[in-house]
Amino acid sequence: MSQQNQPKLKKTTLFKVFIDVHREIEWLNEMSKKGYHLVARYVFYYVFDVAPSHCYQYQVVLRTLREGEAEHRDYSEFLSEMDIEISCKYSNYVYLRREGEEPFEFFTAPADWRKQYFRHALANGAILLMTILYMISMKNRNWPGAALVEVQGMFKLTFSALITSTFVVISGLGLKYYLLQWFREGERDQRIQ
Amino acid sequence: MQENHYGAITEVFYLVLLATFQPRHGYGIIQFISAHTEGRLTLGAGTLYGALNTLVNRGWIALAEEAAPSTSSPSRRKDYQITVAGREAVIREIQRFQALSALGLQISGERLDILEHDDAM
Repeated sequence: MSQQNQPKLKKTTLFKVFIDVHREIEWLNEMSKKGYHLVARYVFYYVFDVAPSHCYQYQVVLRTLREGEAEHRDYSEFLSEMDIEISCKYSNYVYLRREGEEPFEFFTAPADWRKQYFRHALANGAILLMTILYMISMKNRNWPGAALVEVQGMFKLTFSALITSTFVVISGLGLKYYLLQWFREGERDQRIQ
Repeated sequence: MQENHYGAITEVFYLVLLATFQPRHGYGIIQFISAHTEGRLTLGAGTLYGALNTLVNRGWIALAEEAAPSTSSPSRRKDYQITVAGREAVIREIQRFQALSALGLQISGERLDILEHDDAM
């Protein structure tokens, strides 16, 4: 059957929030076993293709902001040698997958995971800071941020408070969690050496 | 001799340098290391990618591009090969191992042939 005649795959969307990237990877692998394969990710929700005949193992990597298209292409070509493909990207989060049921280790050196934890901590810290600045801007109508939510009265206050407090809680928990992981990996490195 | 600014190199870097004495691509390097460590060390793709970038930045390995043998959709597979500076780094590391090994045997009073005999038993 040619690609043009193949039926379009059914898509499904799920809302999910993860603090721990390892839990996220486990969940994506479990979903893939059930036939749901990640194709896109946005804030708080994941889009899956439904294809029960396939099974993938996933990894999530946080790349740096410095990388451009050329580095991304180089990375993608390198991974393709090992039958690893990029499932989707969300900001600097790259979702990798490899077909099969055997889990694949992407980082095998503790220092690499430590670097990842630090990047996750920085990302969560940045979100926390931006959210706090936005909350301050809600009080001061002269800030540009105050124009972002154009809804009237109490609804504006409740809606904005709900969204911003969600971001504050999640990013705050994430920052604390990843800083702890980064610190523990550092201690483990010291003991090994 | 070039002064070593980097100190002792990690096991991963050392093995990647050895693997690139012959031009090898990423998966080839992983297979080489796994085979020569009898399966003890199987590098993850992410770890290898970071190591290769670091070694290229240090000038210890260089990129040697060549086309993959596939005829249907030729893609460019990147092979890596050790440079002169990389070879010097390996030699320095071997000398460091030898000095440490000799010191250990001297201080502990053990003989290497006895240690090997014990391992065989």
